[in-house]
Amino acid sequence: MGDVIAYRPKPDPSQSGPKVGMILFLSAWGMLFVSLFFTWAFVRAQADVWPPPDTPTMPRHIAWLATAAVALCAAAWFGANRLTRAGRRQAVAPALALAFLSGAAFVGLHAWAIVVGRQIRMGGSYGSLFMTMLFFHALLAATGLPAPVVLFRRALRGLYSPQRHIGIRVWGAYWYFTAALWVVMFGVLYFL
Amino acid sequence: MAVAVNATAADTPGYVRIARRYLWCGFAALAVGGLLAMLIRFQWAYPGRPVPLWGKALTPAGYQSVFTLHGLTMIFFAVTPLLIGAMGTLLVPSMVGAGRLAFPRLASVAWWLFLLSELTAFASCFVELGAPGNGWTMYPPLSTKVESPGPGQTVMLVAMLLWVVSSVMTAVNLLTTLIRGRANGLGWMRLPLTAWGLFLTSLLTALFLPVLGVAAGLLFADRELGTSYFAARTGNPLLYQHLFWIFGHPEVYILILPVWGVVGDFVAFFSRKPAFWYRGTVYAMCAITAMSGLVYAHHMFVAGIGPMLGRSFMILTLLISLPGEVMFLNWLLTLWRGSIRLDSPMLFALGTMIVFGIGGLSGLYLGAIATDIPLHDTMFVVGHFHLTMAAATFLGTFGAIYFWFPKLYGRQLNETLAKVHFWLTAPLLLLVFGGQLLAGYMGQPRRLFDPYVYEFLHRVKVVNHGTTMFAFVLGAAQLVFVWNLIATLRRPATAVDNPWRVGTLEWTTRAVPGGEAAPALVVRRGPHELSNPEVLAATGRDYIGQAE
Ligand SMILES: [Cu+2]
Repeated sequence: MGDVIAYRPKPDPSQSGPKVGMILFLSAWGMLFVSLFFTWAFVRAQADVWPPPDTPTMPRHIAWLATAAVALCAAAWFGANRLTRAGRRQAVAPALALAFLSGAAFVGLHAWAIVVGRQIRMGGSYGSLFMTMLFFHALLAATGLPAPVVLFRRALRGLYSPQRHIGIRVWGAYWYFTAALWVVMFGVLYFL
Repeated sequence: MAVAVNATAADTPGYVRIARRYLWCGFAALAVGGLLAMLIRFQWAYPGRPVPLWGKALTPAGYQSVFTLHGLTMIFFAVTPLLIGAMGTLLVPSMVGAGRLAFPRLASVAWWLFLLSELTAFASCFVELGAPGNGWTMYPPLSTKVESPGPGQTVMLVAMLLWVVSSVMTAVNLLTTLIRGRANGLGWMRLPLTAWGLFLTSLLTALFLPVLGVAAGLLFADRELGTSYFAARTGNPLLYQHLFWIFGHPEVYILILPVWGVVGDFVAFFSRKPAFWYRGTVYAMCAITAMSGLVYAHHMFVAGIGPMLGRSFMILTLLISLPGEVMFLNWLLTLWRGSIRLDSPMLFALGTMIVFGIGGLSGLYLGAIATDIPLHDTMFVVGHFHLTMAAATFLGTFGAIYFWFPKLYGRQLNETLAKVHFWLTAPLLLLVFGGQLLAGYMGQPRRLFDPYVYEFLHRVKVVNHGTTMFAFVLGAAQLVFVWNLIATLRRPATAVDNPWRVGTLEWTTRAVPGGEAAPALVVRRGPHELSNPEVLAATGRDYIGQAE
């Protein structure tokens, strides 16, 4: 008895392990940002006026550029996934290269925003929150930067097939998460 | 099929080697943290007297650093590596029949980060003005640059951040192994309870350690980058307490859940009968895990939170003890009419139940606001969390070490010395931490450098003296284990394949060295198939392997 379910075929662990691992990894990152939004709400609830008077505000054009960069990056990952699944191997590496470049540009734009924030002396609780949240988001993006490089080299060696390309799938998911989180953060930091 | 293999030098799998490294890191920190505890006890018995062998008396600042380091060392660098690092890394791959971790290289990176974190924490002693002295909770404003100007606090925050990254990596690894690496037929309801404990612990680790990362990161920014999150006017010191305890309360479950799992398995193994209402125990542990993030503000009843918030958290806190009681009753009913064998792991499991039971009951007084207000910040709190987090995890961890040591080193620790170790340790743990409950009940606030500057605390002196004596004997008794460990490791590897005669996979299947489990492995039953008359008739044994 009971042995009937025992023979249910299990998914290939080399493919499903990275998927589960990435979901867990992103959950941990997610809780980090939940704590940061909690901090934001806590500080915001305490302030009478938001942003506090005579606090310089961050110019929005950097944020719009960052949004464009991360959207391009997510699109590149989407393309890399589609192209792999369609079996168009030679087009995968360029898509990954684009993903890396736009991701790096995104990190660079975050760094630029932090530098600008220091120049215009964005201090106080408002400025601190701004820069801290940008910093942690830049850290999230920077953690995802080595992946396209490694995957690019593997793609050049022709290691991906329509059936086996778990690396592209999970790191694509990582960058979708990064992009979606940025949209939320953009709204919260610049418009709320 | 039922051929067990114990680790030998030639074919030690990678995860066993990593588990061994965590074991030694944990032992080292346990020794350091234990010596620091002795210093604290000495101070409370003889404030101002020169410390023997050292020749100097503790200064107030030195004393602050001593109790801070004691807490941080024990929680982050002793219990965590022993239970999750060593036992988790060793047991998860072998209990699920995977024979390997999901991400072997990640495990190695995590260990190096852990080592770096431990060394960084100890390095904080050697900077100007010494190690931090604000207690393990590192509350601002005490931990801000104004009150703690030395770099020690900053160094400790860096150690914390490294520890968070390392622990999350380990948790993701163990979880993925448990979710995806289970052998054919090993459904969730066939996992040993130890594996369940490690699963839930890893889940809490992955979800709540990032919150500590944010708390430590913001405190770091306040100290070094000029932000003011936790300053009184521009920020709020209470924010830190919220963040810290959103992490801090799940952290106590992170430390105790693996021990609960171990106890649940041991009471079945050594009563030679299946665990009573196995599913109930699993559901109870899951319920506690799910609720663990919802009770944290019971640490803040006197911090000035609203009465409405306080009462909600009080109700949730008292509710979380209900699944705990279900689990405890299941253990008792497993023992009921069992053929109980008092081998050393069983002694340690029973000891864990007793100290955890008393510690848990003392927690009810702290969970209810009316009784928490007078007891808050007294030694009663210290006694409570030492019984639950220190005594229970200590006994549970050592029970696990005695039980699974053959899996680590292919040798069995001496059973007589193990029992001596237990009989010296468990009663003394109760006396030492019971003494703390008593001192707190008599009104002694915690963390005082010299309690006797207060007239009304002179009557506690006799309690503190006695507790200190018990603590010294308790510390010395640990040499029995050290002796046992050294003597065992010097002997050639001669462990029996399945010394405890149980059926879980780590004892009854052979993993391919360095590779995956035997592909033909099919699990057919739960972890506690003991004293089954049909098995006895067919095999002459009172146990059967899960995959037999
Ligand atoms: Cu708590």
